Amino acid sequence: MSRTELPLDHDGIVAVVDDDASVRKSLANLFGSVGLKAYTFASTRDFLVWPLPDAPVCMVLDVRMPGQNGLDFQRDLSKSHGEIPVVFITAHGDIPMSVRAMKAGAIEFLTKPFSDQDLLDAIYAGLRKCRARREELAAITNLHARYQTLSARERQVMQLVIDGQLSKQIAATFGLSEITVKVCRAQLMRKMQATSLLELGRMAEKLERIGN
Amino acid sequence: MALHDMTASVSPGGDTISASASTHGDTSGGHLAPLMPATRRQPRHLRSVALPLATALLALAIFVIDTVTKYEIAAATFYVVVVLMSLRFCRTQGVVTVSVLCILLTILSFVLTPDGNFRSGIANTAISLTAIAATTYLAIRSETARVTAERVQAHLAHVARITTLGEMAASIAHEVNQPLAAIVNNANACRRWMRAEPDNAEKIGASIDNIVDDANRASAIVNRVRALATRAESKRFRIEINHVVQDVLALMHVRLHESRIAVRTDLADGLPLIFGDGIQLQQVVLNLVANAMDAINTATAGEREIHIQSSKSNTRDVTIRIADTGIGLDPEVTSHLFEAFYSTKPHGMGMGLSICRSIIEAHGGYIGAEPNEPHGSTFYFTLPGGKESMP
Repeated sequence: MSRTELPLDHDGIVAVVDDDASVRKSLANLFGSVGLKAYTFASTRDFLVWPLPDAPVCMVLDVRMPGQNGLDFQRDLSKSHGEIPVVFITAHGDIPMSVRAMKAGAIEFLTKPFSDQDLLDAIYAGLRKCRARREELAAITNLHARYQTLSARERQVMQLVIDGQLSKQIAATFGLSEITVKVCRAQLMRKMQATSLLELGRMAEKLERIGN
Repeated sequence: MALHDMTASVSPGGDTISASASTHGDTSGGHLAPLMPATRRQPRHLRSVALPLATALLALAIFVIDTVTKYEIAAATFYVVVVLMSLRFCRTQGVVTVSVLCILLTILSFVLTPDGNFRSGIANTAISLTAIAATTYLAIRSETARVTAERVQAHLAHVARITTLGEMAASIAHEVNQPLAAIVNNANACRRWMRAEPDNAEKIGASIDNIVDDANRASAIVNRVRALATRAESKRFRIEINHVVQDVLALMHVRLHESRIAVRTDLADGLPLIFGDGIQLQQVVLNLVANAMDAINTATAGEREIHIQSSKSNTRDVTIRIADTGIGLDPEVTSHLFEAFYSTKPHGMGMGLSICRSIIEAHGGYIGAEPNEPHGSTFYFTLPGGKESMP
């Protein structure tokens, strides 16, 4: 396997959807030459039945597709498959088309024939974006799991701690001893794997954002 | 071109996985048949020898009768029939030659005839000669008019083709651009495979093979377009009608895709070969498919499908049927459809179908249209098949 590209993505996967067999073949060859794993599909329908791998995925999508227009597909895709970064390719693109694609969050809009470097740069950007999103998602899932381990009392205490109340005040609120509150507080810090109040605050913010 | 049948094969774990479109009836990328295969290098059509032979026998019979009968009987006037018959298988020069021969035979008969009233003989012979000369003159006039009409018709058909090509320019550009994009990708991949340590000879070879295939595909498309664009005069060869349909579909592929119209083909095997002008027949199919597209685009909802069928009859006639799911035909309209300058489209010139009809009729066939159930219409044309069949 050749390794000529610097930002090599070891687990990145490219999904190519193009109805033209020779274009599909050539793209698979190009991605193969830089050590990227590529899967090709003749239609969006075939892509949708493909089990999405647990890895960063970037899509290369032809704008013109039989059955469904690539731009419409991009819109529907985000509903069913989450946000997969899309690089559009087209045999003759026009400005309104590319504007629409970019507005819908496309990484790049390339007109065939395109430079390989432009395409690869776009793919790497897409994979980076996908990886970052996956990491963020994993972190939030992890955080959420940790939060679930807290008891009801610990959650109440956590809320008040974040609101800036002292142990003494919290103890008064719940009619507990200050020692009990301090133990509870240490416990929840340990469970949440927070090293400081500031970090705990940030965690709480994230949890709030995902609607917990 | 089975738009529904595109399938991707995904093999897990490989570095590059290729997907394939199902091959049966797929013209999306795989159809690289050279322009009108089997139309080149065919032996010239042997004109039927029956008619010239009959004509010669008739001339001989007239000569014998004219010679043995008396001067009073002007059998030589029947040479007029010989001249008219020769018109069926000869061009201008041939007709003149036949006519001169008839005149010579008349004079010879006059010399050889043994008895009868000599004066009547002179008068009758003069009348016969005048009749032959006048008939020849008129025959040549009508032949010239026919040739001119044919040339004008071919020219008109050519202009219509160019117009259609103009409308198709964008999709033809797209069609050529696809293999070009593939060539660029493969060349870039090839460069990267070469730069790798150690270089991957197998992949380099495969990349180059792909480039050659893609370049051939681009060149086949260019050839198809050029064939449609350049030639105005009619040239007839033995052709396979299915290839005509496939060539047209290959050119219209993108337009059909853009309109999201599926094409289903049922092309029969072993059809008799047609003796005809492949380009003109392509034009007919092109026109009928384009009309079907327009009909579907005008219709608001429902299926979007064109079904193309080829079949043969017991009498070796070959029929192509092009059925659409479009707006359909008004029964009143059907009788005028193939008239010149008659159009149901707001911006139609009314030339397309009348040119189609003149092309099909020039090939000894007929063209027609009928409504479909429950919606849409079917256009069909039938051509006489030759003795040979497609393999």
